[in-house]
Amino acid sequence: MTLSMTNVTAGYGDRMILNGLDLDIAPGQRISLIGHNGAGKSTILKAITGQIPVKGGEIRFDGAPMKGLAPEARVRHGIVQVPAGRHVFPQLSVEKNLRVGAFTRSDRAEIERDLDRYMEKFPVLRAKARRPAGTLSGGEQQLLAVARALMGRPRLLLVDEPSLGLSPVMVDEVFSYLGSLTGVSVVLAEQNVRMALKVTEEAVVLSQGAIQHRMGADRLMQDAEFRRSYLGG
Amino acid sequence: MAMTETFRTPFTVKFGPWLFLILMACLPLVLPGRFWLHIFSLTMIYAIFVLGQNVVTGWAGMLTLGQAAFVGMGAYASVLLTMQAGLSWPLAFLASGVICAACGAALALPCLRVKADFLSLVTIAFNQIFFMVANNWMELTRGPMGIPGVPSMQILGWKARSSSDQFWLILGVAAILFFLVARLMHGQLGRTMKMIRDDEVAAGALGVNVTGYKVLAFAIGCGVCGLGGSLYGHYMRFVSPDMFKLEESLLIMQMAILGGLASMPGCALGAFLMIMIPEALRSSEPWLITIRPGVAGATLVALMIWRPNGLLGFGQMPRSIRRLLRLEKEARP
Repeated sequence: MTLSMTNVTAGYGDRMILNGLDLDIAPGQRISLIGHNGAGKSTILKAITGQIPVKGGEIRFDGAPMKGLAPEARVRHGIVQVPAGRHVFPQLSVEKNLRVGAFTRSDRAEIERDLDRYMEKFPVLRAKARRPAGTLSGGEQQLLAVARALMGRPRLLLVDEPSLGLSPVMVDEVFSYLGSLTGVSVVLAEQNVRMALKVTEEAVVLSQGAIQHRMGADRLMQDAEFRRSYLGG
Repeated sequence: MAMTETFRTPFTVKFGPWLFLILMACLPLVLPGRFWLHIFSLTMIYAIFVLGQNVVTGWAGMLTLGQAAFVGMGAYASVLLTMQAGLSWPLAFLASGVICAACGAALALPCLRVKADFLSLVTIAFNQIFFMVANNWMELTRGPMGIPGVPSMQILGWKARSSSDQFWLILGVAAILFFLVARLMHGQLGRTMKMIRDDEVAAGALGVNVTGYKVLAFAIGCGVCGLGGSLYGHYMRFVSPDMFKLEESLLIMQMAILGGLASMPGCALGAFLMIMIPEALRSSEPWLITIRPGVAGATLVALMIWRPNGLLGFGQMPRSIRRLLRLEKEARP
């Protein structure tokens, strides 16, 4: 297992959101976290990245316990997050934004190769490589944020609400890219359930901090009750 | 992290500081009288304070308003170490930097638990606490009477007696400090601090130890202010709590904003203008004297409207001047 959460209890202050949650993610697996506001999607991501302390249970990444590791130490282990809301550095050029994605790496030649790779993959980033990232459109910034996270060579990529504030066309582009990723496990927390299920193999349905269902994305789409409560019929 | 840039350092950036240093060094030879020499010495000392403020505020993006407390701490530390403990000035100078860096880091830890606006309040409170302690700890600081008769700066038997000697010594120290801080801020450390300043969430998500770098910024910024404080105390030959009140912190902050945050030349320019404008208005014309107190305020208001990032701040120099200084290539593809 790439990531295994066993009996995890976590929350904010005294208020626990997750109560004994179990979640496993296999290498290269893409799962989406589905749930209404307050169901615990972001809390799971924060517990994995170490932004909030885990009060009970255990999180292991590639077998190594993550307890007590600061967020930056987890990035070095290979857990990288794309935070919600397109956090690019607006004054830095697109290219420099990509370079700072490799903050935790020191293999210069490989960094150059990766940089080339992602510019190849996103011609728009190459075309605007020298422009300040703040001048990019919302969708382009989101692509940049994802590409920048990949520059850290993660083995687990956590993507929080990538569709936030994007036009439908850009949502398509961002998601089709997320669906084409290989060699990295992805956890996607997303309100846009249809899109999320399209690009992930499995879905975890959360309610009040607990897992209600975990099943293949295709099967979930067939489920009548699920369609009624999450897709509006 | 590799940051290979094809952009060659322009000669204005390469040689400008050296040229400036040489011109400054010639000042005592051409300036008439001791008054203007004193004003320039004071400007350089304030430029060091602004440099310290700029590391914390310009590069790391934390709005602190208590830098005068660290200046005072450095001044008192240095003065007491030389006068009471018998240390030589260079040692006391370095010690005051170390003490202030340690205190800055210690203050940073509780400070970073609060959000930006409250950080300003906490540092203002710290400034007040420092003033109270310096004003009331009679046994150590002699309280409001201050400590007179502070020995002048002295290095290996050479004593800076004349105002030109003092000017050159301060210039030398300021140049070294600016050089060292520039090396740090234009390298990996400064870039990482800017990442935190521009987007803390993103920086954290990319594996930057946000708290660690902020504490480091406090340590460097407060350490630089402490070193400047040591110069200040031994140059004025007197220290008293009044010299390190909140107004001084605000003045240092104004200088940093006026010159331009995160700009090395901006530190010097801001200090120069904020000291020189009131001095230039000190004339026999009564109306000039009347408007004097308002000029600093008016300058800042004008700045907020037309140059919100300061005179030399990011993206604030007109493109034509940037080209003239070879800071920017002719045209972009």
